[in-house]
Amino acid sequence: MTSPLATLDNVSYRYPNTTSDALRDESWTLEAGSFSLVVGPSGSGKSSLLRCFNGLVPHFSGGSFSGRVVVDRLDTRGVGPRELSASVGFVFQDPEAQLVTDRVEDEIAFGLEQHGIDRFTMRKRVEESLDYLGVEHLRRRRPNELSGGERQRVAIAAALAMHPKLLVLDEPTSQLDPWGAEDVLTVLTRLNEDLGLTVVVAEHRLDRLLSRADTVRVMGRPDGVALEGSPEQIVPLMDAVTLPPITQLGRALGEETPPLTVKAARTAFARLQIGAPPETPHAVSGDLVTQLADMQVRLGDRTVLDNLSLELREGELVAVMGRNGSGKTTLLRAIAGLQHVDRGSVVTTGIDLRQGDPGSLRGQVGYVPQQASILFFHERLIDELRFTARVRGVADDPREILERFGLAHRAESHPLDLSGGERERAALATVMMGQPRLLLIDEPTRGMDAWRKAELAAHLVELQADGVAIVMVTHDVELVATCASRVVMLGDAGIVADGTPREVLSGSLTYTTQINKVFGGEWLTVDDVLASIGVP
Amino acid sequence: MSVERLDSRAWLGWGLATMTPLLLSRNPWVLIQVLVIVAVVRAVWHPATAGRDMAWFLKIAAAFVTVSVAFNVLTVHAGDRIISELPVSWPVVGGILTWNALVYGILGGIALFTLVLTGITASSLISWIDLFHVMPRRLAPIAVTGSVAWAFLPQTAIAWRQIREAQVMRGHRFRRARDFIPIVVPLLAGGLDRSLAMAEALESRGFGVSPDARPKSANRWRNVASSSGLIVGLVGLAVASYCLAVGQATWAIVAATLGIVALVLAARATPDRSMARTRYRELTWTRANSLVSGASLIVMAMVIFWNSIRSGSLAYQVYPTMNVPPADLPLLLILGLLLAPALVFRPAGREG
Repeated sequence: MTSPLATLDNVSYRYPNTTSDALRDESWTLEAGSFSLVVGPSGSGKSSLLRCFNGLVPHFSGGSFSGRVVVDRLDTRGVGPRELSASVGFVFQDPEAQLVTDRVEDEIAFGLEQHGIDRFTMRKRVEESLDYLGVEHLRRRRPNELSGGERQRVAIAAALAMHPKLLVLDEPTSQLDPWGAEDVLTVLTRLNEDLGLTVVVAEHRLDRLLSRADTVRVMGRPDGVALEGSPEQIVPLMDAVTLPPITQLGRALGEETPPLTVKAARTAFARLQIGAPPETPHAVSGDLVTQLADMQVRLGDRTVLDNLSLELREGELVAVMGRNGSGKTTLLRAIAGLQHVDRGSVVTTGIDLRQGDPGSLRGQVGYVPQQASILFFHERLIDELRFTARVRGVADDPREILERFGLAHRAESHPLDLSGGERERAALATVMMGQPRLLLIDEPTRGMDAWRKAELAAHLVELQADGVAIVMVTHDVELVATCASRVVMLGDAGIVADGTPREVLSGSLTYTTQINKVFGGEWLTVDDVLASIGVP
Repeated sequence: MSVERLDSRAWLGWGLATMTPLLLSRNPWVLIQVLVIVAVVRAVWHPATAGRDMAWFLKIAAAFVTVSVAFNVLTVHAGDRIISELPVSWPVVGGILTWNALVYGILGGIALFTLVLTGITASSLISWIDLFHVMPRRLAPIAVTGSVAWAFLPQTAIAWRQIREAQVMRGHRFRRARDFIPIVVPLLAGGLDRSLAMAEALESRGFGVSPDARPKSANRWRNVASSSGLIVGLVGLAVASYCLAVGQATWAIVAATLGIVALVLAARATPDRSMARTRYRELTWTRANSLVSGASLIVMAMVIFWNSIRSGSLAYQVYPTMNVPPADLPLLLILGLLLAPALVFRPAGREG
């Protein structure tokens, strides 16, 4: 790890038709064989920086570019992404938008074919990549039949088949469930450690990554200067909210080197004297909003939900969790009257959805889809809220709602010009304009940075306090531990656990927080521990 | 000779052969036989989805037949078997409503539905990448672009459903064409986002890279020659069209000839960016493929031949009088060859 593989030298870049720089005077040297992590809030230039390594910036994106990027002795000003694809593998955030063929092995061979690699070498490399990524059994499958984690592994296998010197990944786990994310990160570690491949990853979820990185680069700081160093050097300088919970705790307790892994945390906090975890208020006694009884939902030949009974009350913030395919979104759709129910009853806001018209729910239920931007079709954000008010017959002032969600200054902006976090809040504001009694949210934190996540949690708690019943589908255990009042865990076509976050998440092998893995019992959050030892 | 996978070319041939009688015939025996054959082939090659598809396909079939019948009955006022009559003063729909038109509408609906079912079945079994691999190398970029566009269709259908549901839950009702703006705008914006993401991915994976070692200066001259040839060719064709329009046939032929020659030269001068591009998978042609292709070819040729010598067997006329449709046994036997894909199928994992 001594010679530089890639260097950025005073790189500044501005996208076309924009007035501010996406990158300003960025300089960075990547050592061969290193594992680097790029962190920072949404819009801080992480993706732009990564795209410099394979020439997408500026060759694909246009705009004004200054400075110099050299990768594998190739100056990207003279060599574009197509030529650089032999040296730089690039894996994108969305597993769906990067696979182009209809068979996994063809997908892996795609780049090799483009570069005119002979068939003998191609076959060898495809086999190696399939084996190395553990996707040999998927070789004849269609990419659209694979899970998100499998697709990302196929995308990495396709990049690996090119025998690149540098592998760049832009938020590769943001769309994946915890198991898919772990699979991908384990593969990256092996590629780096066993093959010496240089890896650069931009990510928001640092709990599994921070300990694996040799170098961390923090972007989007108030002074505009990126920080760079080893995780141990950088952690004390990072915003606490972005750190994994055990690292946050270590820092709050004044540890000189806060732990980065659960194992290290167990040692570091072994002698910490903690009392009993705080009590969580149990039952919520608001009016009944939704009642499901013996519900069965079949999708084709598969029974997705069976004999499912559930009651939701006003003022509850219910997190629905479970592995991919366990029926979380189907449950949400059934509550909203969007899903055909084969057996049992679904009564939402007093309307029996198997007897009556689901359309009559319109005034009662708000729904924020996974991709919040699909709600928007007006040119100004305020018009989106006015539209909701009109179709729901609500007379409230939209500016008040925007104020409440911290978006008053963006009222005249085009909704699609908002940043990721703002867009999520805008969708929430748009839906809340209709004054629903029940709010349904589908995976709101996918690809969201830590700051935005904290803001979202605060807004949800506020709505819950106003008496709104909230059902949120999510994989984000830390968010659930922070704000949910109840957790419904799905599995085997039904509910396998239902209770407070402490009851459901404590001691779970898969769905639990880092703090619980270290302290066990009913400890879930950093605040639990700090409160018990009297640290503010 | 049984197989678990057929070559995409064989499927393409089967699809075209199956569509030929559907396009040429309204004979109910022919239509029903082809519909049953397509359903059998689909059930054999897609056993997992056969049950799930049934309800959906029945709905689609009902929709096709309903629209076709309504259109035919209300706009074709001919035939000897009268159901009712609308005032003649009513534009378009005014006049007699006949059983003849209703029957023809049903047959039209069945033909249209079977065409769609054939298209869906064949396209789901065709590997577009395989098909494009047998296309000329110069067309490779177009082929991949087509493959990507094809992959976009199901994603767009899913996006449509998601947006519609989100807008319905927001309180929106769809009553007029204008009400679809809240779906169309996010659909287009999302499609654009996905297109850009896909284009980035293609660039990053070397799509369209020029791997030949020819000096760039040589390619520059070839580009100039190619562009010039293209311009001359198009101008030549435009002049030929003008000459033809003003009655100067001789000059039209001269200009067209020059234009075509220029276009051919332009195509030859175009630098072949895919010169060194290679192919991962060698496509193997099995006897089962020959059987299916041969059967398809026979059906296509015989149907066209039948149409020219015994068109009465294919074209069933319900106007002005409606009679029992003729059943041409030899033709129906020949159409039975379209079952070939079902006969050569062997489930994965079974030896034989």
